[in-house]
Amino acid sequence: MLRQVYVNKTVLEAAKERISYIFDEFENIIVSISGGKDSTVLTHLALTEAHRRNRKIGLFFLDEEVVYESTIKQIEYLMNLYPENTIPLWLQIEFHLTNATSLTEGQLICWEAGKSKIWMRPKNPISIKHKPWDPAKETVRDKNKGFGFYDAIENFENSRYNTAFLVGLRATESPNRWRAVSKNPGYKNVYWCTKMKNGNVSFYPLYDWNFHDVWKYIYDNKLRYSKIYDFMWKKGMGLQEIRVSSLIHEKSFKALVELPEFEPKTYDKLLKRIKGISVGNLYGKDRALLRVQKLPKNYKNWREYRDFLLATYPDPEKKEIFVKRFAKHLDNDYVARQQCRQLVLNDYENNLPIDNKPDPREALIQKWRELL
Amino acid sequence: MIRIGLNNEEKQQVIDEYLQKKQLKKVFVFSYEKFPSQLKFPGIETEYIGYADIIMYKFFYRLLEEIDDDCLLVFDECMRTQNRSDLTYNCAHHYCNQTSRKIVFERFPFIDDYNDFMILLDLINKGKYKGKSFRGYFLNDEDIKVKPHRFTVSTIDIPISDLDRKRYEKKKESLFANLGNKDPDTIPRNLHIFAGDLKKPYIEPNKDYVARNSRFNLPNVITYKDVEQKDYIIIDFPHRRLDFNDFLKRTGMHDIIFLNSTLKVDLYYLNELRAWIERLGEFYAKASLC
Repeated sequence: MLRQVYVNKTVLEAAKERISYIFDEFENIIVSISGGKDSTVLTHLALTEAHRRNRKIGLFFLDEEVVYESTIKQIEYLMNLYPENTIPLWLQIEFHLTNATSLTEGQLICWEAGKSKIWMRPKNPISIKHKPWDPAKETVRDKNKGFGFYDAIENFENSRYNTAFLVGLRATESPNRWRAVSKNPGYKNVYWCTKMKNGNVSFYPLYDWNFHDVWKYIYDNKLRYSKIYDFMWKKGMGLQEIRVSSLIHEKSFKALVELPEFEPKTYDKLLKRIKGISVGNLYGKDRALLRVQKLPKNYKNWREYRDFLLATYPDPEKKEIFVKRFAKHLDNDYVARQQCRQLVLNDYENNLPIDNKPDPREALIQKWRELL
Repeated sequence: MIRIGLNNEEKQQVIDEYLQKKQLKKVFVFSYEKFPSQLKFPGIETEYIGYADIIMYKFFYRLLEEIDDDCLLVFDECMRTQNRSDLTYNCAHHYCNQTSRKIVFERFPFIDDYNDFMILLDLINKGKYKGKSFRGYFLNDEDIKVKPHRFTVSTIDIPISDLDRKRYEKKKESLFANLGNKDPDTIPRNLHIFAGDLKKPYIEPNKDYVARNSRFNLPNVITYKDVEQKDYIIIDFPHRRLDFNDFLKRTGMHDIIFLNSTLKVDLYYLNELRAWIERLGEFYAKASLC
């Protein structure tokens, strides 16, 4: 369990000190932004410091094209908060994105050349429209999968030198990720960061903030935030559910269920842009379909369902990825349910990793055998 | 302060005494919807908030703004899950951080296990107890008073024929064989219902009984959700400990009588209850030593 130890300092004071330290240590600073509440706060803190020091910092936004209109408005707002201190790094380039809602069009190529008529919106005048790195040095994690979201980020980062990247990662939101990134000091004696190539370092100045700290900062500083949060709040969604994310990949497709209500025009454009959107809208929260929590009635067990999904998987290249991956796993229903989820959601990238362990159900059944 | 084991009148007395000593701007009373709080705070602005609303944004931010040290928070029977990190508790901790004035009422000190008591301590001082397991000396560290509830368990054993025992075994095997993807806990639940069915001939018309559902179609056998404040003979237990605790709260029963088939499944539920009562007794012993 992640334990917080309280010290005699507010998280805001600590974050300001951290950001000040980064400004002291690095000439080049880039804030990675998503349009969500955390990156809004981080951007404001960093820009305030840049303004105070009369310096310029980069605001990096990798535009996935299929995002809420409110997200784009938020990005425009952040880019214009302190224009004299901002270097806009708004990337609108081609890359592949998993579409979890369709098995026949399992990937979206964002900003695909020749398809500008069906893009969700025209490219922004201030955006970077071509890959800002040497094509000869471009790296792709897996050529079978194509140039993806993480490749775009990695190549962008690797094209920079001695740069501090500021990321709004918070430990309470992603404890596992936090544990992974904070094991060792990434820079000098600093643990709230990760070392990268070319002398670059990724820093997490908000790592100890809770969500209410974030909202308090937004309120106190009268910052604008994505309207999606208000929509979700009005719908009475629980605190953990409320987040602004992408719309179609394997972790975010549930957003499609409410999208027509929140942003009907975005939904309309999305329907024309890529297949499967109406499936995501209808079944994004269905336990038997896209959530893969309830076994469809036609199957005796999850293993049988997995075998069916694998046998009928339409893309032979990606099918091979799954076959190889699953061969390393235990063959039980607990694991098979997770494998079904990967297959249903086109998770060939393994972003929803499998918890490969003996089925805990078996132990419970054994207990009842002995007792009853 | 934490007060364990009080009934509504006793709780009101605690509140009345508290109000005589303290000046308050507003009182926020949190209670589970099925057990709405009966507490009254005459002359003081009072807001009653349901357990399910604790996590809602429409309450959360407003309450963070409103609650300060002139406010009293009352948690009236709010221990509804054993998950100490549950979102509802986490939100409640944020409210609790805003004021030092908190009163926690709970009938039992835990749902099933000593460590559940830490949920109550977290409401009083989250920072102090975070990540810690229950230790008896914690009872000294806060203003805690415990009124013990002692329970006795007796059984009315009914005769079970060899044929019924064979049917039980057959039913059990069939449940295991046809479990499929169902929750394994459905096995004891179904077997307990099966055992309950065998008790029908022994239900006496002049006594009150409680069963898990209304399958007996008898006027003197009611379900757990319909119980009133009186004594019942138990035909089948609910599977979840929390549901049985709720039953004890509603009925005020202390002498539990169980119509026992002596089949293994009945013995399992009976033993679980006895073990819970034993743990409760141990807790009371610890509390009285403090």
